[in-house]
Amino acid sequence: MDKEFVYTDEELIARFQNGDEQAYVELVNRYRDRLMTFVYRFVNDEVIAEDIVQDTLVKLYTHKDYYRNIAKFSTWIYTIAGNLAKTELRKKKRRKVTNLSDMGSEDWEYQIPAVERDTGEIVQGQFAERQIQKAIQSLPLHFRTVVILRDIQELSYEEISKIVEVPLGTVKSRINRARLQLQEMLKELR
Amino acid sequence: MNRYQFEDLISDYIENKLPIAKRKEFEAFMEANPEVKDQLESIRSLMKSMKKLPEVKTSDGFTAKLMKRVEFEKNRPSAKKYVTSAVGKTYFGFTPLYATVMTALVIAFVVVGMQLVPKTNNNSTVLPTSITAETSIIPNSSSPKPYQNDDIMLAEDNDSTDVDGPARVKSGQFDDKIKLVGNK
Repeated sequence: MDKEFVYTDEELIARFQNGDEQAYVELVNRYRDRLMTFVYRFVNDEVIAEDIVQDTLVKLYTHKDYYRNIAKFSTWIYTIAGNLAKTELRKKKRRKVTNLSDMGSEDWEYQIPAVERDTGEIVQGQFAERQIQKAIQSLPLHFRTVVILRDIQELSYEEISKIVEVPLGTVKSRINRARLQLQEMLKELR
Repeated sequence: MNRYQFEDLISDYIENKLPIAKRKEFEAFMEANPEVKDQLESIRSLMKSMKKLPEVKTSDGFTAKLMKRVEFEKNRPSAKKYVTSAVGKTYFGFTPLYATVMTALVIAFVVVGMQLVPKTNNNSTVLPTSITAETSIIPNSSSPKPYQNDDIMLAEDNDSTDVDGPARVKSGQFDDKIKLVGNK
Protein backbone atom coordinates (compact mmCIF):
# COMPACT_ATOMS: atom_id res chain seq x y z
CA MET A 1 0.00 0.00 0.00
CA ASP A 2 2.88 2.32 0.70
CA LYS A 3 4.76 1.48 -2.49
CA GLU A 4 6.16 4.31 -4.54
CA PHE A 5 4.50 4.50 -7.93
CA VAL A 6 5.60 6.37 -11.04
CA TYR A 7 2.09 7.68 -11.53
CA THR A 8 -0.42 8.58 -8.86
CA ASP A 9 -3.88 7.03 -9.03
CA GLU A 10 -5.29 10.34 -10.21
CA GLU A 11 -2.75 10.57 -13.02
CA LEU A 12 -3.56 7.02 -14.07
CA ILE A 13 -7.30 7.59 -14.23
CA ALA A 14 -6.66 10.78 -16.23
CA ARG A 15 -4.55 8.79 -18.70
CA PHE A 16 -7.24 6.13 -18.87
CA GLN A 17 -9.89 8.76 -19.53
CA ASN A 18 -7.73 9.89 -22.45
CA GLY A 19 -7.74 6.41 -23.91
CA ASP A 20 -4.68 4.74 -22.33
CA GLU A 21 -5.94 1.22 -21.59
CA GLN A 22 -2.65 0.27 -19.94
CA ALA A 23 -3.46 2.80 -17.21
CA TYR A 24 -6.64 0.82 -16.50
CA VAL A 25 -4.65 -2.40 -16.12
CA GLU A 26 -2.31 -0.63 -13.70
CA LEU A 27 -5.25 0.61 -11.63
CA VAL A 28 -6.69 -2.90 -11.56
CA ASN A 29 -3.38 -4.30 -10.34
CA ARG A 30 -3.16 -1.67 -7.63
CA TYR A 31 -6.67 -2.03 -6.31
CA ARG A 32 -7.92 -5.56 -6.87
CA ASP A 33 -6.52 -7.03 -3.62
CA ARG A 34 -7.26 -3.96 -1.54
CA LEU A 35 -10.85 -4.00 -2.73
CA MET A 36 -11.03 -7.76 -2.27
CA THR A 37 -9.95 -7.42 1.37
CA PHE A 38 -12.45 -4.63 1.99
CA VAL A 39 -15.37 -6.41 0.35
CA TYR A 40 -14.55 -9.81 1.85
CA ARG A 41 -14.42 -8.34 5.37
CA PHE A 42 -17.76 -6.78 4.58
CA VAL A 43 -19.70 -9.70 3.05
CA ASN A 44 -17.76 -12.63 4.52
CA ASP A 45 -17.88 -14.71 1.35
CA GLU A 46 -14.90 -14.97 -0.99
CA VAL A 47 -16.87 -15.88 -4.12
CA ILE A 48 -19.37 -13.07 -3.66
CA ALA A 49 -16.57 -10.68 -2.72
CA GLU A 50 -14.65 -11.48 -5.90
CA ASP A 51 -17.79 -10.96 -8.01
CA ILE A 52 -18.32 -7.58 -6.37
CA VAL A 53 -14.71 -6.57 -7.01
CA GLN A 54 -15.14 -7.63 -10.65
CA ASP A 55 -18.30 -5.53 -10.90
CA THR A 56 -16.49 -2.59 -9.33
CA LEU A 57 -13.62 -2.78 -11.80
CA VAL A 58 -15.97 -3.24 -14.77
CA LYS A 59 -17.80 -0.12 -13.58
CA LEU A 60 -14.46 1.66 -13.43
CA TYR A 61 -14.03 0.78 -17.10
CA THR A 62 -17.52 1.65 -18.31
CA HIS A 63 -18.01 4.73 -16.14
CA LYS A 64 -14.50 6.15 -16.20
CA ASP A 65 -15.73 9.54 -17.37
CA TYR A 66 -17.92 9.90 -14.31
CA TYR A 67 -14.81 10.34 -12.18
CA ARG A 68 -13.94 14.01 -11.65
CA ASN A 69 -10.62 15.04 -10.21
CA ILE A 70 -12.19 16.71 -7.17
CA ALA A 71 -11.84 13.68 -4.92
CA LYS A 72 -9.16 11.05 -4.50
CA PHE A 73 -9.48 8.11 -6.84
CA SER A 74 -9.40 5.70 -3.87
CA THR A 75 -12.42 7.47 -2.35
CA TRP A 76 -14.35 7.04 -5.59
CA ILE A 77 -13.50 3.37 -6.10
CA TYR A 78 -14.18 2.45 -2.45
CA THR A 79 -17.54 4.20 -2.70
CA ILE A 80 -18.49 2.09 -5.73
CA ALA A 81 -17.33 -1.13 -4.06
CA GLY A 82 -19.08 -0.26 -0.79
CA ASN A 83 -22.36 0.48 -2.53
CA LEU A 84 -22.23 -2.76 -4.52
CA ALA A 85 -21.42 -4.70 -1.36
CA LYS A 86 -24.36 -3.14 0.49
CA THR A 87 -26.68 -3.93 -2.41
CA GLU A 88 -25.47 -7.55 -2.36
CA LEU A 89 -26.07 -7.81 1.37
CA ARG A 90 -29.60 -6.49 0.96
CA LYS A 91 -30.28 -9.06 -1.76
CA LYS A 92 -28.82 -11.76 0.47
CA LYS A 93 -31.03 -10.67 3.33
CA ARG A 94 -34.08 -10.86 1.10
CA ARG A 95 -33.16 -14.37 0.04
CA LYS A 96 -32.97 -15.21 3.73
CA VAL A 97 -30.04 -17.53 3.32
CA THR A 98 -28.79 -18.67 6.67
CA ASN A 99 -25.06 -18.35 6.92
CA LEU A 100 -22.46 -18.11 9.62
CA SER A 101 -22.89 -14.38 10.00
CA ASP A 102 -26.45 -14.94 11.16
CA MET A 103 -25.34 -17.04 14.11
CA GLY A 104 -25.48 -15.74 17.62
CA SER A 105 -22.52 -15.65 19.96
CA GLU A 106 -23.43 -19.10 21.35
CA ASP A 107 -23.00 -20.56 17.84
CA TRP A 108 -19.55 -19.07 17.59
CA GLU A 109 -18.57 -20.60 20.87
CA TYR A 110 -19.52 -24.01 19.54
CA GLN A 111 -17.67 -23.51 16.29
CA ILE A 112 -14.58 -21.76 17.55
CA PRO A 113 -13.28 -23.05 20.83
CA ALA A 114 -11.70 -20.27 22.83
CA VAL A 115 -8.38 -21.32 24.26
CA GLU A 116 -6.52 -18.11 25.04
CA ARG A 117 -7.39 -15.81 27.90
CA ASP A 118 -6.44 -12.35 26.74
CA THR A 119 -7.80 -10.60 23.62
CA GLY A 120 -4.27 -9.62 22.71
CA GLU A 121 -3.20 -13.26 22.71
CA ILE A 122 -6.30 -14.55 20.94
CA VAL A 123 -5.76 -12.44 17.87
CA GLN A 124 -2.40 -14.00 17.06
CA GLY A 125 -3.76 -17.15 15.50
CA GLN A 126 -6.07 -18.32 12.78
CA PHE A 127 -8.98 -18.73 15.19
CA ALA A 128 -8.54 -15.18 16.24
CA GLU A 129 -8.86 -13.98 12.68
CA ARG A 130 -12.08 -15.93 12.30
CA GLN A 131 -13.38 -14.58 15.56
CA ILE A 132 -12.72 -11.02 14.54
CA GLN A 133 -14.27 -11.66 11.14
CA LYS A 134 -17.41 -13.06 12.75
CA ALA A 135 -17.57 -10.19 15.19
CA ILE A 136 -17.33 -7.71 12.32
CA GLN A 137 -20.21 -9.48 10.57
CA SER A 138 -22.45 -8.97 13.56
CA LEU A 139 -21.95 -5.20 13.52
CA PRO A 140 -24.65 -3.02 11.97
CA LEU A 141 -23.74 -2.05 8.39
CA HIS A 142 -22.97 1.59 9.18
CA PHE A 143 -20.53 0.52 11.92
CA ARG A 144 -19.06 -2.31 9.87
CA THR A 145 -18.17 -0.11 6.89
CA VAL A 146 -16.32 2.53 8.87
CA VAL A 147 -14.39 0.18 11.13
CA ILE A 148 -13.16 -1.89 8.16
CA LEU A 149 -12.10 1.22 6.29
CA ARG A 150 -10.30 2.60 9.33
CA ASP A 151 -8.77 -0.37 11.14
CA ILE A 152 -8.19 -2.78 8.23
CA GLN A 153 -7.82 -0.52 5.20
CA GLU A 154 -6.19 2.23 7.28
CA LEU A 155 -7.89 5.11 5.50
CA SER A 156 -8.02 8.56 7.07
CA TYR A 157 -11.14 9.79 8.86
CA GLU A 158 -11.57 12.47 6.19
CA GLU A 159 -11.50 9.93 3.39
CA ILE A 160 -13.96 7.65 5.19
CA SER A 161 -16.26 10.60 5.73
CA LYS A 162 -16.31 11.20 1.96
CA ILE A 163 -16.83 7.52 1.14
CA VAL A 164 -19.78 6.99 3.47
CA GLU A 165 -21.03 10.55 2.98
CA VAL A 166 -21.52 11.39 6.65
CA PRO A 167 -19.90 14.17 8.69
CA LEU A 168 -16.46 13.64 10.19
CA GLY A 169 -17.75 13.73 13.78
CA THR A 170 -20.27 11.01 12.99
CA VAL A 171 -17.56 8.86 11.44
CA LYS A 172 -15.36 9.19 14.54
CA SER A 173 -18.24 8.39 16.81
CA ARG A 174 -19.27 5.35 14.73
CA ILE A 175 -15.72 4.00 14.69
CA ASN A 176 -15.42 4.37 18.45
CA ARG A 177 -18.79 2.66 19.01
CA ALA A 178 -17.86 -0.13 16.58
CA ARG A 179 -14.60 -0.78 18.44
CA LEU A 180 -16.40 -0.89 21.78
CA GLN A 181 -18.94 -3.37 20.39
CA LEU A 182 -16.21 -5.56 18.88
CA GLN A 183 -14.27 -5.53 22.12
CA GLU A 184 -17.39 -6.50 24.03
CA MET A 185 -18.17 -9.39 21.65
CA LEU A 186 -14.63 -10.73 21.66
CA LYS A 187 -14.54 -10.53 25.44
CA GLU A 188 -17.60 -12.80 25.58
CA LEU A 189 -15.79 -15.38 23.48
CA ARG A 190 -12.83 -15.70 25.81
CA MET B 1 -15.93 12.17 34.05
CA ASN B 2 -18.19 9.13 34.07
CA ARG B 3 -17.95 5.75 32.32
CA TYR B 4 -19.89 6.86 29.24
CA GLN B 5 -17.72 9.92 28.75
CA PHE B 6 -14.66 7.75 29.21
CA GLU B 7 -15.84 5.32 26.52
CA ASP B 8 -16.57 8.15 24.11
CA LEU B 9 -12.97 9.27 24.35
CA ILE B 10 -11.20 5.89 24.11
CA SER B 11 -10.41 6.08 20.39
CA ASP B 12 -9.24 9.68 20.61
CA TYR B 13 -6.98 8.73 23.52
CA ILE B 14 -5.46 5.74 21.72
CA GLU B 15 -4.92 7.79 18.55
CA ASN B 16 -3.41 10.61 20.60
CA LYS B 17 -5.97 13.18 19.56
CA LEU B 18 -7.07 14.44 22.98
CA PRO B 19 -6.10 17.90 24.20
CA ILE B 20 -3.73 17.83 27.20
CA ALA B 21 -6.36 18.85 29.75
CA LYS B 22 -8.80 16.20 28.56
CA ARG B 23 -6.02 13.61 28.43
CA LYS B 24 -5.12 14.27 32.07
CA GLU B 25 -8.76 13.98 33.07
CA PHE B 26 -9.00 10.71 31.12
CA GLU B 27 -5.90 9.27 32.81
CA ALA B 28 -7.12 10.37 36.22
CA PHE B 29 -10.35 8.46 35.64
CA MET B 30 -8.35 5.39 34.64
CA GLU B 31 -6.27 5.60 37.81
CA ALA B 32 -9.41 5.75 39.88
CA ASN B 33 -11.10 2.90 37.97
CA PRO B 34 -8.61 0.12 37.15
CA GLU B 35 -11.26 -2.00 35.35
CA VAL B 36 -11.54 0.62 32.55
CA LYS B 37 -7.83 0.30 31.99
CA ASP B 38 -8.39 -3.31 30.91
CA GLN B 39 -11.07 -2.15 28.50
CA LEU B 40 -8.69 0.40 27.01
CA GLU B 41 -5.90 -2.15 26.58
CA SER B 42 -8.34 -4.62 25.09
CA ILE B 43 -9.43 -2.12 22.43
CA ARG B 44 -5.85 -1.12 21.72
CA SER B 45 -4.99 -4.78 21.20
CA LEU B 46 -8.04 -5.31 18.99
CA MET B 47 -7.01 -2.40 16.76
CA LYS B 48 -3.51 -3.83 16.38
CA SER B 49 -4.94 -7.23 15.52
CA MET B 50 -7.25 -5.82 12.89
CA LYS B 51 -4.33 -4.09 11.21
CA LYS B 52 -2.51 -7.43 11.13
CA LEU B 53 -5.38 -9.31 9.49
CA PRO B 54 -4.05 -10.85 6.27
CA GLU B 55 -4.87 -9.28 2.95
CA VAL B 56 -7.42 -11.32 1.03
CA LYS B 57 -6.17 -11.97 -2.49
CA THR B 58 -8.21 -12.36 -5.64
CA SER B 59 -8.03 -15.70 -7.44
CA ASP B 60 -5.44 -16.44 -10.15
CA GLY B 61 -7.87 -16.12 -13.02
CA PHE B 62 -9.23 -12.82 -11.77
CA THR B 63 -7.61 -10.50 -14.32
CA ALA B 64 -8.32 -12.78 -17.29
CA LYS B 65 -11.98 -13.04 -16.26
CA LEU B 66 -12.16 -9.29 -15.76
CA MET B 67 -10.70 -8.54 -19.19
CA LYS B 68 -13.24 -10.90 -20.78
CA ARG B 69 -16.02 -9.00 -19.08
CA VAL B 70 -14.53 -5.69 -20.16
CA GLU B 71 -14.42 -6.89 -23.78
CA PHE B 72 -18.03 -8.01 -23.50
CA GLU B 73 -19.06 -4.64 -22.05
CA LYS B 74 -17.17 -2.83 -24.79
CA ASN B 75 -19.11 -4.65 -27.51
CA ARG B 76 -22.48 -4.53 -25.79
CA PRO B 77 -24.64 -1.95 -27.62
CA SER B 78 -26.41 -0.68 -24.50
CA ALA B 79 -23.09 -0.20 -22.76
CA LYS B 80 -21.45 1.64 -25.64
CA LYS B 81 -22.96 4.93 -24.61
CA TYR B 82 -20.99 4.68 -21.35
CA VAL B 83 -17.82 3.21 -22.78
CA THR B 84 -17.49 5.62 -25.68
CA SER B 85 -18.78 8.76 -24.00
CA ALA B 86 -16.08 11.33 -23.52
CA VAL B 87 -15.83 14.25 -21.14
CA GLY B 88 -17.34 17.46 -22.53
CA LYS B 89 -19.50 15.93 -25.27
CA THR B 90 -22.42 18.07 -24.31
CA TYR B 91 -23.64 21.34 -25.74
CA PHE B 92 -24.82 23.81 -23.10
CA GLY B 93 -25.47 20.84 -20.87
CA PHE B 94 -27.46 18.92 -23.52
CA THR B 95 -26.42 15.71 -25.20
CA PRO B 96 -26.08 16.02 -29.00
CA LEU B 97 -29.54 14.47 -29.52
CA TYR B 98 -31.28 16.82 -27.09
CA ALA B 99 -29.28 19.78 -28.40
CA THR B 100 -30.54 19.05 -31.94
CA VAL B 101 -34.14 18.74 -30.79
CA MET B 102 -33.92 21.94 -28.75
CA THR B 103 -32.37 23.87 -31.65
CA ALA B 104 -35.13 22.67 -34.02
CA LEU B 105 -37.78 23.76 -31.50
CA VAL B 106 -36.26 27.23 -31.09
CA ILE B 107 -36.06 27.72 -34.89
CA ALA B 108 -39.68 26.57 -35.29
CA PHE B 109 -40.79 28.97 -32.55
CA VAL B 110 -39.02 31.92 -34.19
CA VAL B 111 -40.42 31.12 -37.65
CA VAL B 112 -43.99 30.76 -36.37
CA GLY B 113 -43.60 33.94 -34.33
CA MET B 114 -42.47 35.87 -37.41
CA GLN B 115 -45.49 34.64 -39.35
CA LEU B 116 -47.83 36.01 -36.71
CA VAL B 117 -46.38 39.57 -36.74
CA PRO B 118 -48.15 41.74 -39.44
CA LYS B 119 -46.05 43.49 -42.05
CA THR B 120 -45.83 47.30 -41.47
CA ASN B 121 -44.18 50.42 -42.95
CA ASN B 122 -40.99 51.44 -41.34
CA ASN B 123 -42.09 54.92 -40.13
CA SER B 124 -45.58 54.28 -38.92
CA THR B 125 -47.15 52.71 -35.95
CA VAL B 126 -49.26 49.68 -36.46
CA LEU B 127 -52.97 50.36 -36.67
CA PRO B 128 -55.80 48.00 -37.34
CA THR B 129 -57.01 48.06 -40.94
CA SER B 130 -60.42 49.49 -39.93
CA ILE B 131 -58.77 52.61 -38.47
CA THR B 132 -56.49 53.13 -41.41
CA ALA B 133 -59.54 52.93 -43.69
CA GLU B 134 -61.34 55.61 -41.65
CA THR B 135 -58.40 57.99 -41.67
CA SER B 136 -58.19 57.74 -45.41
CA ILE B 137 -61.63 59.41 -45.82
CA ILE B 138 -60.92 62.38 -43.52
CA PRO B 139 -60.67 65.42 -45.75
CA ASN B 140 -57.31 67.09 -45.88
CA SER B 141 -57.06 70.48 -44.21
CA SER B 142 -54.22 72.78 -43.41
CA SER B 143 -54.73 72.49 -39.65
CA PRO B 144 -56.45 69.29 -38.81
CA LYS B 145 -58.59 69.55 -35.70
CA PRO B 146 -60.46 66.58 -34.38
CA TYR B 147 -63.15 68.81 -32.81
CA GLN B 148 -64.32 71.86 -34.81
CA ASN B 149 -66.51 73.31 -32.06
CA ASP B 150 -64.54 74.60 -29.07
CA ASP B 151 -67.70 74.82 -26.99
CA ILE B 152 -67.99 71.12 -26.97
CA MET B 153 -64.52 70.87 -25.50
CA LEU B 154 -65.36 73.51 -22.89
CA ALA B 155 -68.60 71.78 -22.03
CA GLU B 156 -66.77 68.56 -21.51
CA ASP B 157 -64.29 70.28 -19.24
CA ASN B 158 -67.09 71.24 -16.85
CA ASP B 159 -67.25 68.98 -13.88
CA SER B 160 -70.62 67.28 -13.75
CA THR B 161 -70.33 66.98 -9.97
CA ASP B 162 -70.00 70.77 -9.60
CA VAL B 163 -73.60 71.49 -8.47
CA ASP B 164 -73.02 75.23 -8.16
CA GLY B 165 -71.62 75.66 -11.64
CA PRO B 166 -73.34 77.12 -14.72
CA ALA B 167 -74.28 73.76 -16.09
CA ARG B 168 -76.57 73.14 -13.15
CA VAL B 169 -80.14 72.27 -14.17
CA LYS B 170 -82.49 75.03 -13.22
CA SER B 171 -85.01 74.07 -10.55
CA GLY B 172 -88.43 73.29 -11.99
CA GLN B 173 -87.18 72.57 -15.51
CA PHE B 174 -88.38 68.96 -15.33
CA ASP B 175 -91.17 69.55 -12.81
CA ASP B 176 -93.82 68.16 -15.10
CA LYS B 177 -91.95 64.93 -15.56
CA ILE B 178 -90.37 64.31 -12.21
CA LYS B 179 -92.22 64.40 -8.96
CA LEU B 180 -89.87 65.22 -6.14
CA VAL B 181 -90.53 64.10 -2.56
CA GLY B 182 -90.97 67.70 -1.37
CA ASN B 183 -93.49 68.64 -4.09
CA LYS B 184 -97.01 68.01 -3.07
